[in-house]
Amino acid sequence: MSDVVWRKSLEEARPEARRERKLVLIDLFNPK
Amino acid sequence: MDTVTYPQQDVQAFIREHFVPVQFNVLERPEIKRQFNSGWTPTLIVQDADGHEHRRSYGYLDAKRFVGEMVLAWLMDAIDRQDWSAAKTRTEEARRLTAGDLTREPETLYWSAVANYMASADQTGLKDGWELLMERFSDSDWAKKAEFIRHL
Repeated sequence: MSDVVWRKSLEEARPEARRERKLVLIDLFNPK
Repeated sequence: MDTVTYPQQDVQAFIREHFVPVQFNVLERPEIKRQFNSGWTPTLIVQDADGHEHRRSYGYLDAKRFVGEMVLAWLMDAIDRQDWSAAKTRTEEARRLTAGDLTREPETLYWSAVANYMASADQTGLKDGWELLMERFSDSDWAKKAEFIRHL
């Protein structure tokens, strides 16, 4: 099973979400 | 989340099935916190493709709680769109995935009753569902939101 591929922008994610009838999950994270 | 929660297979499977995930590193892009009106990390926001927000969560979530948040976001998307048929179907998965989560199971029972009622226009579904909620989670906020129905 492949890992989840995190997109880097809403511009990339939203068309894909619309096409695949999915929602957009946005994760704001601090790596430290 | 990257270390503990996201590597879990059930988490990955649920994300892949229902979401297109986007990550923003707030140290590399500090303007992002302002853009999403968030002052803390991790912040999880679920939007539809048009940018309408359906759920938001602050702070770390383990796998069980993360999946519970995501299934409720998926349910709220249907409720916010007033797609009661989809909402009713989604409550079934929400009930399965939030079972045993003392924060999210009561919320699921609340919305499950609402979806049953709105999908059928039969008020019995609302009353019975909320009675179950009040019986099982009497101290929860969601039970308190439902209590008024006993006075109708």
